Amino acid sequence: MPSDERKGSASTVFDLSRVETFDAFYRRELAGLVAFASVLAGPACAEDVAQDAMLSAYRHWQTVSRLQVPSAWVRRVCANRAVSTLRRRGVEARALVRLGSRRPDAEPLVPEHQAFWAEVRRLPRRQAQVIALHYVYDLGVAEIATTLACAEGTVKAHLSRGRATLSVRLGETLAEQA
Amino acid sequence: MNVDELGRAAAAEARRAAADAVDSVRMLDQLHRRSRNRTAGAIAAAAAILVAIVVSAVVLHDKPSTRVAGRPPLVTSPPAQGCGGPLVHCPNPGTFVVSLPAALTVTTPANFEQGVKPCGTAGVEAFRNDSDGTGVTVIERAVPVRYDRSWSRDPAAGTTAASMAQWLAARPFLIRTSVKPVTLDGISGWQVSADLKPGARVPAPKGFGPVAPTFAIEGCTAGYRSNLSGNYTLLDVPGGGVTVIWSWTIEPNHSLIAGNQAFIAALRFA
Repeated sequence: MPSDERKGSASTVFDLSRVETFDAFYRRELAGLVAFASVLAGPACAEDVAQDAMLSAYRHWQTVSRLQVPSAWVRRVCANRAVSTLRRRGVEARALVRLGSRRPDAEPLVPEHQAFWAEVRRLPRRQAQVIALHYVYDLGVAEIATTLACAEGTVKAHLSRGRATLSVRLGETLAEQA
Repeated sequence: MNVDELGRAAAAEARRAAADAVDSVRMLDQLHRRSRNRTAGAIAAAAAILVAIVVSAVVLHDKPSTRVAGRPPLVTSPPAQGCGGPLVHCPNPGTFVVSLPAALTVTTPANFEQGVKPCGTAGVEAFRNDSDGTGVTVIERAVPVRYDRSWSRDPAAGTTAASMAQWLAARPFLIRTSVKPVTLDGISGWQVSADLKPGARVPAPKGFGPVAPTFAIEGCTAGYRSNLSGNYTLLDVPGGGVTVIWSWTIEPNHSLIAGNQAFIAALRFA
């Protein structure tokens, strides 16, 4: 368990009046979480990764719902699951098995956006998570640090290195878009 | 356009696509059903464990102990990620004894996930924790297969580690092949390294895309494709037949495979 999770649980003031139901939280967060999972793990298994993270939140809802930012908790779980090799392989396998029985996938992203996320997925895992949180949720350094339970300096470094790597690898795409 | 602008545009489209595609009512219903199933499954598993404990206690009470003095007892793992299922026992943290034809002891180094996953009827896989797609698969009684989609035995490979190493190095879909002698757990064998020939056919179906096939057992296959590279160590393991240790990566950086060496060096066969 990340140290910040323990810290968050211990330091949060329990205010039952502001605790929302899990179903309301789920409906509010799901689409964003699927988008987040999609850019980190690929579209084929995005729903499964997001659903796994939500299932975790559901099982720990008594604690999660009382955190100051429950959405940060579920985004961190999702970020870790999306980049975890063992889980991703399992989820991908389940997703592949189900593909035949599922409704058609949503329209794919335009090629240059697909290429952008493909390059994000090639980044080291922490850089990929920071970049995805920054763009998908439009989060700043402090919010990303809270979400991933790390120092703001670490986030700045990952953001800077990630962007630099993406600039180099996407040079041709960026030039075409200019 | 700079990378920031591209990122924001790509994120906006990803959010739009997810919002269009996600059916939160259906998925919420699925989540509640999964949760109920898990609870029911956990209750059933707990009941089964309780029954097993009671039965074991009755049997042990009726029989004299057969445990070998001085030998640590093996703990049968639950079917969890750490111990990987009923075929895997965990005598110590980070050590996994896998019930293959020749029992295999795996000690996972720091750069590997702390767990193993059975692969087919006589194999096991372990995955790196510092890479999203690198690992090692050990296959006992490995069958060398034809260069087609059948996954059937290629008799031309012979039946020993030495003959299969030479056969592998001569596969028509490989280039830059090398064969060198190695010793693992006191057993002499051969390590074959190679790259896939550009444009080579990949006729055999495999989980995440077809491959140029190399070895197989029921439920566990190995091969090459453009984004799946690796090397193979072949040993004649007593009781385990020709055993293939396949060190692989799906990452573009093939040098990641070198980080698998500590895992391979620590393998022990019964």
